[in-house]
Amino acid sequence: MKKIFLTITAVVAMLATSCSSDDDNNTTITPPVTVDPDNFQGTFDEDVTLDASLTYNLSGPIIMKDGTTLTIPAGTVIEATGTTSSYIAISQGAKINVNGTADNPVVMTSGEATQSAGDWGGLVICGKAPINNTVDGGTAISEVGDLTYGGSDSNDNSGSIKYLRVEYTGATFNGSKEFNGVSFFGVGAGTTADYIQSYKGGDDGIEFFGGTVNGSHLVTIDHADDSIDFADGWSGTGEYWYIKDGDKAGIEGSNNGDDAGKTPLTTANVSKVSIVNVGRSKNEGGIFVKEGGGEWTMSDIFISDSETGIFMKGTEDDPVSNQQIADDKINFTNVKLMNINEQTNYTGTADFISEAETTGAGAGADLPAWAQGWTKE
Amino acid sequence: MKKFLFVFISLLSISAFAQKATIIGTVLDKDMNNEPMAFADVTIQGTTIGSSTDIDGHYTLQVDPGTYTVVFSFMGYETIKESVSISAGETKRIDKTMASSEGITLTEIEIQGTRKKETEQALLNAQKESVTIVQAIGSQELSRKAVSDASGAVAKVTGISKQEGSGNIFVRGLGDRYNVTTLNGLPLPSNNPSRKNIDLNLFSTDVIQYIGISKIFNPKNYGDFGGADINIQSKIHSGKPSFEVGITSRANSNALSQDNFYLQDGPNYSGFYTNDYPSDPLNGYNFDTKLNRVSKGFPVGFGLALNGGRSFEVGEDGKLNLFATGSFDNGFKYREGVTRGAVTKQSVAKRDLTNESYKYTTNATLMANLEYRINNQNNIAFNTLYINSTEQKLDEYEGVINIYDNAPKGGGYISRESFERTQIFVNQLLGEHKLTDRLTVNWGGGFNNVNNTLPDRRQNMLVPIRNNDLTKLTFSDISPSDNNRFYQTLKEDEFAANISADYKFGKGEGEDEDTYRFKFSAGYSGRFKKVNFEVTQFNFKINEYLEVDKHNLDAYFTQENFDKGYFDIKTFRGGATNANALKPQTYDGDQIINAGFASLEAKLTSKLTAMVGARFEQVTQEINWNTQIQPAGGNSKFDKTEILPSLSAKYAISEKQNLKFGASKTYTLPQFKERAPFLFEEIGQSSIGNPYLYPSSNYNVDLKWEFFPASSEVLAVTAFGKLIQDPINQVTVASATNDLSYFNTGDEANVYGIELEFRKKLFKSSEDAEFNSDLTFGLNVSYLNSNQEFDKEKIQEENNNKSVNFTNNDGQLTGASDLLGNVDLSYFKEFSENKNIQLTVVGAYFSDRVYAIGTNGVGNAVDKSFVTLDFVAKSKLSEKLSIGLSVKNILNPTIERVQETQNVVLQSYKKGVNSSISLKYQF
Repeated sequence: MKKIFLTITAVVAMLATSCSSDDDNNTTITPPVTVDPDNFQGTFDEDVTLDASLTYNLSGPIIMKDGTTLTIPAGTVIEATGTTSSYIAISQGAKINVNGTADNPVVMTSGEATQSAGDWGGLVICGKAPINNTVDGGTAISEVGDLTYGGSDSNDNSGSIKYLRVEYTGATFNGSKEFNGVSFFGVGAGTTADYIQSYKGGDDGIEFFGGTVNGSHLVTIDHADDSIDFADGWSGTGEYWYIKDGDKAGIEGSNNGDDAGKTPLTTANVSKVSIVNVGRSKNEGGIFVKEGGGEWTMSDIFISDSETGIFMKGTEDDPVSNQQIADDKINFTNVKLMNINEQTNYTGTADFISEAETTGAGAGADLPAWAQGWTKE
Repeated sequence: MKKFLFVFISLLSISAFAQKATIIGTVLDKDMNNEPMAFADVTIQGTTIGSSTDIDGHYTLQVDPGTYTVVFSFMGYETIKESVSISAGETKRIDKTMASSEGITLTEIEIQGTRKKETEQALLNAQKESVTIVQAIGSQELSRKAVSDASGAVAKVTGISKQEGSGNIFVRGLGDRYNVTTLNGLPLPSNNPSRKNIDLNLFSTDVIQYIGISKIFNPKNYGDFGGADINIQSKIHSGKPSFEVGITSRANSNALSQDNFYLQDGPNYSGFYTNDYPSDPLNGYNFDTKLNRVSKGFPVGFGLALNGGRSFEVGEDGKLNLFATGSFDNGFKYREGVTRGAVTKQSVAKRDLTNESYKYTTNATLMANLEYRINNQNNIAFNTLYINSTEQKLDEYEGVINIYDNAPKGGGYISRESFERTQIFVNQLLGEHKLTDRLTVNWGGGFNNVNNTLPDRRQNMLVPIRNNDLTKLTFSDISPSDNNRFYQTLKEDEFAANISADYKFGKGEGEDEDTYRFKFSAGYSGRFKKVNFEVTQFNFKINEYLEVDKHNLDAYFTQENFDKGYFDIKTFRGGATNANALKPQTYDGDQIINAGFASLEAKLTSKLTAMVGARFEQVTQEINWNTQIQPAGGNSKFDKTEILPSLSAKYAISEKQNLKFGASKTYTLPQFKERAPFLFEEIGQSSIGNPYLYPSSNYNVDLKWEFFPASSEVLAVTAFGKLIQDPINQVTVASATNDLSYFNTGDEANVYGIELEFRKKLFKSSEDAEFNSDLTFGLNVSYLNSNQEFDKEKIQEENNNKSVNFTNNDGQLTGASDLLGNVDLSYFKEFSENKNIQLTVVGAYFSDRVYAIGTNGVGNAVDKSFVTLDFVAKSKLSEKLSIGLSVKNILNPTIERVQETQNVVLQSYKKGVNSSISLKYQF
């Protein structure tokens, strides 16, 4: 009864292109997969609902295909091993419903005896909302998982995530192909992302690659790269972000790495943020305005125990970000800096940071009340 | 209508020949059991009238009535003279049998004792006689231009250029994928998983009789063709027994200028080196090679070549020809320069590094050819070839690794130590049977085996401990894979079989009685290939970011530090605790091609010959993979059936002028590597295969006018056009990481252009001079125009929604230079029977060409034009001893790649001047 075996073979994608009349061209791609919960991996073309009474041993990729839903009830624990080969991916058109509660969150963690950052990939969600690193309204390939993401459906719905804790994620292929704790690739505004923690990740904690999803009550603790990252035309609202202990930037926000002025611009509306003790290995500030930045409205930002408050490159390396600030497109209001060496390393003349008292995410440098109970410190 | 044509043609013939007399005949080769002798010179003494015998030994001379001395000559053979008197309208037949000479003066030192199909004159004749458009370069010309390998050889042919730093050949702007390389008409495997064609650098000229380059399709050849069919004809012995020893010493000026020449630990001098990862790679630091670089002494290269041949009489009619060669060569190269990348639309190069590169190469070749001429009608040959080729490289980079992330202030350091070894083993059995005067059967079978390994490639990346402090470095903390050891093997087995029959009919009358008007050919060929690719990479996950010395990383990577937990060793599947950790990344491919062809060659009039034919090919390509990109695995397969019609024609405007035409359809297959989702990582750039890639179709048209004013002289002009449907290009796929991938990027690409080939003797000593001297000038130039459209929608539709964000809507073909040119000037002088000197200057030029198509608002990456100049001297000092000197890349230009629009120099370096001295002794 407790052992439910799932054996699923997915037949994917037929490609038949008629390029000239006598071409008999026929490409099929068929990844054969056999899965069971003790060896939890597979490519699914039907809905999957997990059982909270089981511990799932994730040892390879889980790929939810278009049209399917992965439902994870409160209290479910998934233990992963296998570095980059092990991850959970929600394809475009598929949904994930993480139904955790404050008392009983869903936990995705390392299955290694000695747990450490990078033990497995992480959670990858791909949606159909706009991104700016492709042709207009087009798609791109995710950093990891080899999935397409992006499109023109701003209200796309990839499901709902509530009270999820991911731990020891961030396995990397190389310096640019990296899993984050949770990666939102072109995820649309119809998706709910509320109460998510990434704990001890080898790369970023939570990253938004374009898309329009809003993220609130996000917690990251102890990351080897940036803690929260948004890029490639993310257009969304964020509030109640608590970030503690990070090797690089607390928040890294960029517009586009190849074309810093590419539209749709990253449009960030982020408030009630605490950033504590970041830049441990390399100072990239509490917040790093990078690769053109975009249009930012940031308020109630508390930053402490770091070197620089707002960090950015000079005009030679990042002319567009500097111009955005000069043009009043990037603003920080109600900023509180504690134990910080310099407010910003911006060298221009624009006045884009106004300091005032704020408790940031709720309790200044301390873990706010809304994060108590379901997170790990 | 028919009558009209007949009358018209007759009138033409009469007007042309009314006042003339004709001498015809056949020349036989006594050394070859009285087989017809091709390419023998037949001249009228004291005049410029002359011709060469064709493949069947036939010749025809048109002369004014009178008395003449006809001279039959062939290098290495006794010259025969015969007087003849002839009156207007008369036809006289003179048949001769020639025998190799004893102690004759050879003007070319390399080719004694080999069959003479490799002389420039002979190959020009072959070009003249062929219905199709063929160009060839033989060992005589290779020697004159001091070309050391096949890649340099083909680059001497019109419209062909070589890409710097690789053996990659572009034919009329069409790169590797459009070309096909064969050895004696059977396929040659590639030595590199990225390529379709073998690196022609691997074929030293010692094993080459000649290289034939067909730029138009012949239904006999493989249909996976678009630019050229490059056929290497391996050397076969004939004539007297020979044995020759040569030694060479060579040096590169860049390498010599280094106080220390560094390479990595491990690989040896001979290149016969292999290394697998240790039996327990994850539970301890058990790797047996060091990371620290090693100084390697004086970087002067060495070469030794032995070759010999002998013929044996077998019974009354039979003859056994044996040729064997063995050689070893090595060389040292060094270069320094800049390398930049990841350029943004705003002209910021996110990667900006200086690069020092040390390279040591070896090539050992063994070849044996056994030819058994059973009699005049039957001939069987066995060829075996083994090549062991290696490239050992130490690359060090310093500077900005990523301006936004890693070492942003120029303090980063990357080292990559690689050793790539390719062993190729080719075995062929070939037969030719003249069953009757009319019917000839040719067959061949080959088994090829390639073993390409990249054992123990080591990469390390260091960054400053604190920003901007360049004096203290530690390991990069971006990814564990920044510091890794990598093991790759590619195995490829291919079996190929060809059989074809030629049947002649429509026997001529009168003076044409030994010729036929029609030749019908038909045959089958099959290729069955299996590819197996495996990679295991060990990533060093650093836990203690201590200060390290970039040239003493062995101090950090020790068993002691491993025990202390300073670093972990993991593959992409995990560490020692994961049972699957050592399961490699793989792809396996199967390719089956079955083909049949038929063609008819018809001599429609005395001047017009045409060949019409078609080839039918059935191709299946299947690939299975399990890689870090798709750890769940997957597979992809396509079937393609192609009917490939072709037409070629030759119209002899006069005895010395031809007009040739060719039209055909062919196709281009994607390579396994291009379809496998495996991530190939270079420094700063990765590429990944695309399973949705499919073949392109090519339509080719050529029109050539050629004029042979005198012996060894040619002037030829070719106009050509190509239409490529669904062309394949490597471009950056829209992604979060900017990896390169492969796509059918648009509906069509087209290339059209014009080529000029010119060779002339500017000066020649008179017929009566005791010793010869001459001055030869050669020029070939091609001008072409290429264009392809890029179609974003097509890419999305055909590739499961993947996108490419092209900067431009159309552009040139990658690798296509508008203007290509080669020029050479050669002076030859004889001092005595056994003393001569030959001095040659060779120049080459190509105009700017696109290296990579621009995406994401960034312009194309363009390789800038440059000129190269080589000087070669050869001298025969005595009957047995000769000496050679070459100085190559004399101008030593800066080689640059530039990102257009953004105007960023992506790559800049100088190759240095390469010099060599060689001695040869014939026993």
